[in-house]
Amino acid sequence: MISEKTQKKIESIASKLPQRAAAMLSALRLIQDEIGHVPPEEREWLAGKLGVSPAAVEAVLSFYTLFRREPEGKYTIWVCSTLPCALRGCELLMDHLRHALGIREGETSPDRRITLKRAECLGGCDRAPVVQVGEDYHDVLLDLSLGTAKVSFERVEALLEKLT
Amino acid sequence: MSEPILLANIGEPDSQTLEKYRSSGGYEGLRRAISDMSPADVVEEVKKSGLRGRGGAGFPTGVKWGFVPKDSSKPRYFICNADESEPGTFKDRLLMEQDPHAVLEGIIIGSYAIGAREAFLYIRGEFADSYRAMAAAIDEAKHASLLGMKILGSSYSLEIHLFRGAGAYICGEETGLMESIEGKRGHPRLKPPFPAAVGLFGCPTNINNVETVANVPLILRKGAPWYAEIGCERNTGPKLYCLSGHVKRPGVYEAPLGVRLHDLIYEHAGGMWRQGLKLKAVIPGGSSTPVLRADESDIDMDFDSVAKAGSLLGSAGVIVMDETACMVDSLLNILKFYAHESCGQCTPCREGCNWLVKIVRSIEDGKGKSADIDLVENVAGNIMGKTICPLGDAVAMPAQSFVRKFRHEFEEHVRLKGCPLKGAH
Amino acid sequence: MAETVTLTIDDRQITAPKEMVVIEAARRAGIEIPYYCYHPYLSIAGNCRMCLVEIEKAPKLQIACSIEVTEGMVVHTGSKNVLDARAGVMELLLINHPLDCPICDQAGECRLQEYSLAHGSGTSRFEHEKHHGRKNVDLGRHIVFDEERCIKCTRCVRFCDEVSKTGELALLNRGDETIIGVFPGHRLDNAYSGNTVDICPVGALTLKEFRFRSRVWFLEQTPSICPGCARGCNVTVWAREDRIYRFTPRENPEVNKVWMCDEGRLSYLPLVARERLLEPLMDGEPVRLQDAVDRAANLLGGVGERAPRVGVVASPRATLEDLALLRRLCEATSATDGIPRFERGEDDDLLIRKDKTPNLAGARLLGFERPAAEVLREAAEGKIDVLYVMDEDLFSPAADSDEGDLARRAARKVRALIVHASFRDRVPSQAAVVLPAAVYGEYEGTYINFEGRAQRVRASMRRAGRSRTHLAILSAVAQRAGWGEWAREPSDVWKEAQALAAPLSGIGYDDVGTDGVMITGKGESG
Repeated sequence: MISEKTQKKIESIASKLPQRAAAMLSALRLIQDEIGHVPPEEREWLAGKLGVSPAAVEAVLSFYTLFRREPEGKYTIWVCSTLPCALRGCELLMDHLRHALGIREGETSPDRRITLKRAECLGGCDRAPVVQVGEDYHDVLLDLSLGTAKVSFERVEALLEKLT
Repeated sequence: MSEPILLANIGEPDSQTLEKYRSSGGYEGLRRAISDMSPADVVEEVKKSGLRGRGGAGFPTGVKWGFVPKDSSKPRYFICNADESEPGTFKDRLLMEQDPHAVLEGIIIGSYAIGAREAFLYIRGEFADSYRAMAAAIDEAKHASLLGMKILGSSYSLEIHLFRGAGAYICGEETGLMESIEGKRGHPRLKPPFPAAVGLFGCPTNINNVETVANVPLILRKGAPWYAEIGCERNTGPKLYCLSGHVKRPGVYEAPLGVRLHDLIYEHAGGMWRQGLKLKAVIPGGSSTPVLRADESDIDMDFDSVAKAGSLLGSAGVIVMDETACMVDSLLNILKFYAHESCGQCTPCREGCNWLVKIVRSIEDGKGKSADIDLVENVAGNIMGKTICPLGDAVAMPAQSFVRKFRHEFEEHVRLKGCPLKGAH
Repeated sequence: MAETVTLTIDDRQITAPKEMVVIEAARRAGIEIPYYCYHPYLSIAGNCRMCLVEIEKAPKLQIACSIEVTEGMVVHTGSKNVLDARAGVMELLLINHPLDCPICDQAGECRLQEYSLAHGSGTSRFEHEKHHGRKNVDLGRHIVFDEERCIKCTRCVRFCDEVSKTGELALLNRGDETIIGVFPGHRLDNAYSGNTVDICPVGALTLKEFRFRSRVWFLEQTPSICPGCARGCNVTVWAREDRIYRFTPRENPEVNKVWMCDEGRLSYLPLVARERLLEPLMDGEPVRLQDAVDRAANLLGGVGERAPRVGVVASPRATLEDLALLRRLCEATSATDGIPRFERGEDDDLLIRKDKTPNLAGARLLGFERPAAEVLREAAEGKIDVLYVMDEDLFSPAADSDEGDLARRAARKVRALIVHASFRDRVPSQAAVVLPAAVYGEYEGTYINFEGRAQRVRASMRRAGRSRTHLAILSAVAQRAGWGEWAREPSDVWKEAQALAAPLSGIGYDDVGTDGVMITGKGESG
């Protein structure tokens, strides 16, 4: 179960809103930040806390892509693959990451360190192809110095090395 | 290139701080609104400025504010839509990260204008920096009596709730966003009733895009006549354009409404990213807007001119494609996006988006028949205008325009049983 | 009277109340607009898009389920745009829908099937792999779910949110992976879950107790009343060859809207499961009906020096007409009488009543007010010679009140016990005469619900074996006992009931009609 501190935080958010259920997204985020995902027990707890049915929590949890119903790796790498990133070589980047990590999209590395996921437009098209790790965006993973799209292996490796 | 107005602070050190914002006239608009003007005066001023919503539809902001009933017994809410998610669009993120007080001041003025005591800022879940910057700005503003109880010593008080999305494009649709704030799936609502009458928590609600509200302090500070001078007729004010794709310098560029699209591509963004390659196509307003061929793309970038050219200014997310871009693959990419983001609520969008993906994928993979090309247009037609929310149109418009304007490429895929441009990067 | 507006639908002028949605205004005028998600007793979802119509001056097609009528509105429900849109929606609904109609239990009442014929193109241009979902998901005590067939109209979800207010169901996931579901490990188990099956427009939700039992077109439908509790939900009884296959709720805005509880819905099951008593018994041995009636008449009639002290226990499950004749029997024998209660649980906010009988109000109207326990106690104490019991369930060992116990003691004590019984299982061995009574579904008559609404229960089967209606048994006994010729047709007995109960005056047997009629107050004022 989540810590008392997080429970209190959720209560405080819910009590300040016109309707308690409006704290849903914030609460799920807080639970996930603490546990890494949102387990069934916490979902039911939250349903009671916000005065909705457990099914209503499940409905929300399964709708938003940033929520996790199952544990994932310590870090999730989101590779943006929508048009502006696709035009600038995100598939090369995805290929490289798959190869470097030895996993497929949606999978978690055997050491539970990294989960690799495909994202739809991250709104970072100025940095395309962009990846998101945790809360942060990382750009310039391609070497554009030659005017061609080419994955900068060094930069990718440097990024992966930071994720320990 | 003209002097930036909206982006004047951006790029300066500490641009996100209250001190810096105030040093260049920040919150003067709010002071004027609250001490010298009635809410109705503020609405009138914004009407006079000609400001049109920057979220996509281009609806006059002052008129929209005027729709919120004054005599409701229920609370009124002001929402700022910062769920920027349309592919090719990243201007609101820049504003929030680097000029959060401009956004905040706009929200406070707008809330005052419609008589809201509570405002909601709904920030896209992935935008952590935006969230942090806005949270810090709110704190600063509260301490400076610009927000909270009795703003600037007046009788007006406002509370702002900061919300973070959790990964759903559809929450950028205004009623989907309201559902999301209420703690539900982001299912767009049937209209009518419209949010001005029945919105958030069933109360009268006004909702504006980040860039829209960031324009408001300028209008209040410098006056509607000054503002209306910028841009062109019926399309006033400065505008942020997001250039992405095959340009040398992708980024957000400011220009008055009506700037030439080719100026944006070739001057602001430095032209094609790879020398010697020619422009093939441009999507002018985010991936949902109809694509333009290179030969029809040298247009004025304002709401009315882009519409006249057969597309939409939308969110001004300009996606540029050079000769190496496969139009079938590009359409497939766009369709996959909308299929992924369809909320699944109504039949045409839920079933149609993925059907389109399947047809276009089979063409791209060389398994398509020539009848499939017409089928794309036809299925898109069965979605267009028939869904609860505009996402249906957002998938149908690119599908129809790509096929109509680049039909030869689709036919070539069918004839060659594959993509002639595969691996052209 | 509500304000009205005048509008034009398909060139016809129609007057409709303000705020009515176009789909209802059209329906009233006999113009059917097809739909899946719309339901008059649920909130408007507007998600199926089947009811798109053209409204002049609107920029695009509008859904008729959500647009309210306005003065001067001009609606077209059959224009080319509308027909194309409908065909488009049909095609899209079917691309991921399995073509398993031959083995689908919804066949015959599937809107997808019906509308395919009327509005579809007959062919599909979809040449890809369909979505596959789980089949035969055990969703709840009574409910089986087929994911593939679901068209996400969300009627079931809205029912659980808005009517049963239990919230078990929700839409999960999104896009074309959207599916109806429950919280992990939870089930769709509420007291009203069967309604989700009724409102499911396709074969996604089916009722365990009915699925694969019969194709619906083989069943005959009879409008009747649920005998499960004092609410008297209006139902359609679906029967074939003297057997009931299912109950479905029948619309009555005043009583049950269009809903019914699961217990009531399945209240016909014991009729099928319990062993019927098909012939009269005397001292446990089968006899001719005439002999049994003679014996009963003899026991009651007081042939001999003094009349027996008779006790009568009525049944709140019998019809008003049955009870009217029973009242006459009481009068003829100067009997002391009582009525048992069959109560369980509590009343809820929707339909369920703790009184599990359909006609207690009717029994009271005829003067059966005393608790059965009082009569039974007198019998157990030897103060009654002949005990006449209308419903063998009085002796049910399952009865949680002390009535069951008292009844069994009384049975042992009295000189003679006469019982009307439909089933073998609860007949006390001491009974001198057991008269085989018709069961629900085999008789016609009137129930009066707890609110005072008289409603018509109808026969949908022939009587089994040599069983007889209570009316027939009572009038036969009366005749043999020399009390005269009693009416035995419900419509005739109704007149006797009117003579016994003032509130019924002025109301004819046929006035009860299909929707029932309120009787409380009428008699008092008149």
